[in-house]
This record gives sequence, C-alpha cells and structure tokens, in this order.
Amino acid sequence: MTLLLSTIIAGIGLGLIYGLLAFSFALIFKTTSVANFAAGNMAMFGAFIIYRVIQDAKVGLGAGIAIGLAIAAVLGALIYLCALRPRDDAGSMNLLIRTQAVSLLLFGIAFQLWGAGEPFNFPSVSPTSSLNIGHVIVPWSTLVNAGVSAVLALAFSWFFYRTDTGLMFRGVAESPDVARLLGVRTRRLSAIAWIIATVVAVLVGVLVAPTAFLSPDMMDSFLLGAITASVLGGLTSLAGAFLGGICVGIISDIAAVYSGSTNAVLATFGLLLLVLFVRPMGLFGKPIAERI
Amino acid sequence: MLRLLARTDTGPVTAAVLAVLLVLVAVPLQPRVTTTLATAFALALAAIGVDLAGAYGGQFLFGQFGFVAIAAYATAYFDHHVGLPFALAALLALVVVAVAAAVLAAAVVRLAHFGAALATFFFGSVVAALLTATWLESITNGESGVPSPAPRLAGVDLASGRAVYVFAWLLLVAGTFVTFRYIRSRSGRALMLTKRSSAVAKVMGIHVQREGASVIVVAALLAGAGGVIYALTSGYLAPEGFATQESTFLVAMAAVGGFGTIAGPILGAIFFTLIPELLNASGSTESIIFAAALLLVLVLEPQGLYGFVARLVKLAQAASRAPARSPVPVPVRRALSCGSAGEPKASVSPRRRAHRSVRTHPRNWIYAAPRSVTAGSTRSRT
Repeated sequence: MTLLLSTIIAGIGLGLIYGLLAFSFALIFKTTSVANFAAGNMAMFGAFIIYRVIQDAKVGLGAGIAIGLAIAAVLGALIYLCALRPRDDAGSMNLLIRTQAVSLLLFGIAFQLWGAGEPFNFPSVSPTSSLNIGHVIVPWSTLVNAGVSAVLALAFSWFFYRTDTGLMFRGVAESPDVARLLGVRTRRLSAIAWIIATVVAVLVGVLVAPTAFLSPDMMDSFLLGAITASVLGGLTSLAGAFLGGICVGIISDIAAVYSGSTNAVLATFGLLLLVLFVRPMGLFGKPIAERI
Repeated sequence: MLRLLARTDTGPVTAAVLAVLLVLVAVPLQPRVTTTLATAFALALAAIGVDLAGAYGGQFLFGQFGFVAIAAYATAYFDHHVGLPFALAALLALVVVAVAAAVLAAAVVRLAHFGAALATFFFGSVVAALLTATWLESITNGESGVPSPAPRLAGVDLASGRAVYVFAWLLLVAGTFVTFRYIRSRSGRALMLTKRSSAVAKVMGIHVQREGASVIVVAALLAGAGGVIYALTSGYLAPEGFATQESTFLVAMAAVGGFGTIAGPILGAIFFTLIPELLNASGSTESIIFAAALLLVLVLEPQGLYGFVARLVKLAQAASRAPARSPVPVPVRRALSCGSAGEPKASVSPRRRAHRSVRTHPRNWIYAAPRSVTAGSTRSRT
C-alpha cells in the first residue's frame, strides 16, 4: 500500500513534467495551429545550454538557469522567425514537418557540439533526498515540480485572463480570422507564443535533466508522455494538459514499478487508445461542432 | 494501367519516373548502389502511404516506419522460424500489418486536429520499443536482431544485386498502381470529400470513420510491402535500424517530394537515400546538413521537388508558347470609371486582367470596357 502511494506520488511528479511540456505544446497549437514536435528537443537543447553556461562561465545554478531562460527566449523567437514565419501559408502539414526538421537540427547540433562524453550529470534544483511521511516517500523533486507547475499555472491564468495580450491570445485561439480582422497582430502573437513555449520547455529540461541525465536523446520518452497528455487533455485545453499529464504520469509510473519500463510505454499507449475509443475529444476537450 | 495513369493529374509524371527507374536496370551500377536504390524503393512505398493518407485522407501518419518494421520482422520470422516459402511469408506479414493497422486506425480516426499525427507517432515509438521487449525475444531476438531472409526464386538469388532491384521495382509499380486505383475508386473520392468537409461527407451518406480507417490500412499495407523489400536489402534486421525518427524521415520524404503527387514521395525517397551516400560525412555533421536542407526545402519550395519540376516545365512551355499568343482584348482608349454619377471613385484601366477573386485560376480573365464587362476562360476560348 505504501509502495503504491509512493509510486502514485512519484507519478504525479512525473506527470507534472509531462503536463508542463504538454502545456508548451498546447500553447503553440492553440495560437498557431502547429503541432510542435520540436518541444522535446527544445527542452534538451536549453538544458545543454544551461549546463555549458554553468560549466564554462563558472556561475551558480540559479544564475545559469536565468541566463539559459533568456537564451531560450531568443531561441524561441529565432525558431519562429527562421523556420515557421516564412511562407506560413504553406499548409499545416508543411509546418508540422518544419517543426520536425527543427527538432532534428537541434538534436544534430547538440550531438555535434556536446555529444562527446554524454550523459552528463546535471545539477539538481531540488535536494536529491526525499521526505518520509509515515512510510510514504515524497521526493523533493515532486514537490519542486508541483511548485513550478503551480506558479506557472497561476502566472499564465493571470496573463490570459487579466492582460490585454492574454485577451488577444484567447481571441486568436477562438477564431484566428476574426481576431485578425479585428486588428490583432496574429504573427506577433505567434512569436510571443513560441517564446513562451520555448522558455517553458527549457524549464522542463532543467527539471528533467538531473534525473534523466543530460544527453541529446534524454527527452524522447518525455515527448511521448507529453503527447499523450495533450491528447488526453483535448489538445487545446491548457488546464487539460496538466490533468492529462498527471493521469499519464501515474499510470506509466505504476506500470514501470510493477512490470518494467517497456510495459510502461505499452501501458501509456493502451491508455491513449482506450481514451480515444471512449472520449475521442480527450478527457477535458469539448466535442467539435463543424461549421459548413 | 497506363490509361488509368493518364487520367490523373500526376499519373504521367509518375509513370515517367517509374520508367526511368526501370531503365536504370540496364546501367551497370555498383551492387551497393543497386541495393541502396532498392532500399529507396522500399522507403518510397511507405512514403506513398504517408502521402495517400495525408494528402488525400487528411490523416497524418507519423508512425509509418512501425509498419515497415512489423512487415520486415514478420517476413523474417515466417521465413526462418516457421519455414514457409518466401512469397507466403511475405503475404502473411502483410496480413499481420493489416490487422495492426486496423486496430490502430479504429482509434486514430476518431481524433480531431492533429490527433492522428500524435497517436501514430506514439505507435511508431511503441513498435520501436517492442523490438527490444523481452517477451517478444523469440521473434525479434532482442538487441541482436535476426538475419534477413535469403529467398531464391526460380534459381535466382532474390536478395542481391539486380534481382532485388527488379523485385523492388515491381512492388513499387504495383503499389503505385494500387494507390492510383484507390484514389479514383468510390472510396478514394469519398475520402477526398471527407478531407474537404467531413460534415458534408456525412450528409452525403459517407461512412466517414470507415473510409478514414480504410485509407490507413491501405497506407500501412504499402509500408508493409516496403518492409518486405527492406527485409531483403538490409541484410540484418536490428532494432537500431528501426528507430522512431525513421517515421519522421518518411513524412519528410513525402513533403520534400511534394504532397499529393505520388511521384513526389518516390523522388523524395531516392533523394533522401542518395544524399547520405553522396555526403559521406560523419554521423552528426550529416544529420545537421540533412536537417538544414530539409528545413530549406520546406520553406523555399512548399510544393516539393514535384512542384519545382512542374514549375520548370510550365516555364518552358510558357517560353515556347509566348510569341504565338495573340492579344485577346480589343484596345479601348477611355478608362472605365465606376462610382456614383459625376464622381468616379475607382477606375479600371481597360485591359484584360485576372480578376482578384479568381487569382488561383490564371486562365480566367475579366475584360472591362465602357458599358460592358466580359469574363471568360482562355481554355474555352470565349
């Protein structure tokens, strides 16, 4: 029983990571209708940059993360301006594969520059020990993940519901064409969405890197979890992304603890198929009415 | 078959590409190049599947290499372990692929937005993970992999050199033919309508989900045929050869070649398999160049290689036809004005010009002269 409880708590910690990445995914999807397959490698790339900053510039972890997030913002803007912005009317498939190409490019560069000697030990933001409440183990990393998620969720709900820019974001998500007609500069919003999404993704990288060890392919399994989370969450629901992430995290962690990591992937996939059969719009999505 | 190809937009080009590939048999190429091209045909088949499901059915398959893997391993398993003849093993492998695809498709077609892309991407990863799973070791042999089948057909070793090239070419032709037949069939037309508007399709009595599922199965079978070839050409089936990003490459091949053209994915697959051979760079440098090149093509030429070739052909045609064309409009000196009496608000200079709203059809024209506006199309020579 205590093992199950501990597993569930660790699963929530993992699920919040999935949720954060799925949030980054959903943010871009909502504003630009592009499914960003580069989310995982953006996180990996950012984590590598922070690691190099800490190692080469001899700064502390906090300063390194601050510098890294600033670089991440620039990186997000660059990705949007160079890869997505030119000819953005080329069709959703074209844009989708552009994000795949960006992902491959980030992987290639990371492997070329920093691949030698991987995986690296990334300094952890949270103590590696855990709290013991009764016999239930609560890792500090879970608490840190929960804290970061809560802060971000509050910050973004303030941003989306209390600021003018947030209102424009909601307008674009509702109907891009009408928003454009009303004078919303949708491309500028897209750029902002890419910047925010990259920063969130890099934050995920920082949270993942200490336990997953820093290597060019460290985000592969997390991207899968995040994808499942966003499908469960209904693709466009930002809150659904977090809740979906927590579901995926708990299920895959229980499967991993009780029957091995390959089966965890299978269990997650089974969950995905099952949910799609029962609720195609995701657990938290709304059914789509089509306008002719 | 030729008549079928001639009736479609992209058929003639596809037929030409396939013919050129057949002629290559006569060229004395190195055995390595022949095998590489045969592998390219395998990938082309899978990429055609991506193209079919994506461009015609609106379902983006990002786990297509999973089907290639299933077919390749199943062929090897039925050939080695069960000891069936190669043809039978390949057929059974296709059955396995069809069953897997049907299960996946039943879930995928229920998704909106990019659900298909995400779910199939996950499927590809699951297959990649299963190749090393312990409980499948009797079939996949885990990390160490299995040797590929070496069949002999009528005394000819099918796994090497020219024989495998011809075999792969024949399968590619068959796959292309099936694809064109499918597009022009009742199902294919229903599918294209569904992609345009699923609500309209439903009203017309089309079983939207069933058509969506059937195209995924057809696409998977194309990938399966590719997998059979892949089993022959790869020499050894190991999990490294079936990594998740291979599926991405298949989609990239279709995109670089040109979506919705069938010939495009074939060109894309050849392009993609030959470039690494030509680059001959170290692994990571190659992948950077590859990714950058992919991005460049996607940004600069959204229509892909096919679109590029088609534009060249059009330019050449325009250049050769230009002097012969006589001016259609009658010269009129006065400018046409419109607006309320006495106060012209906008004026249209009286010459033939493409109307803004029909810009996508450059042959349509509208001709404005005082008291008369005529519109027509140069195709019908009004």
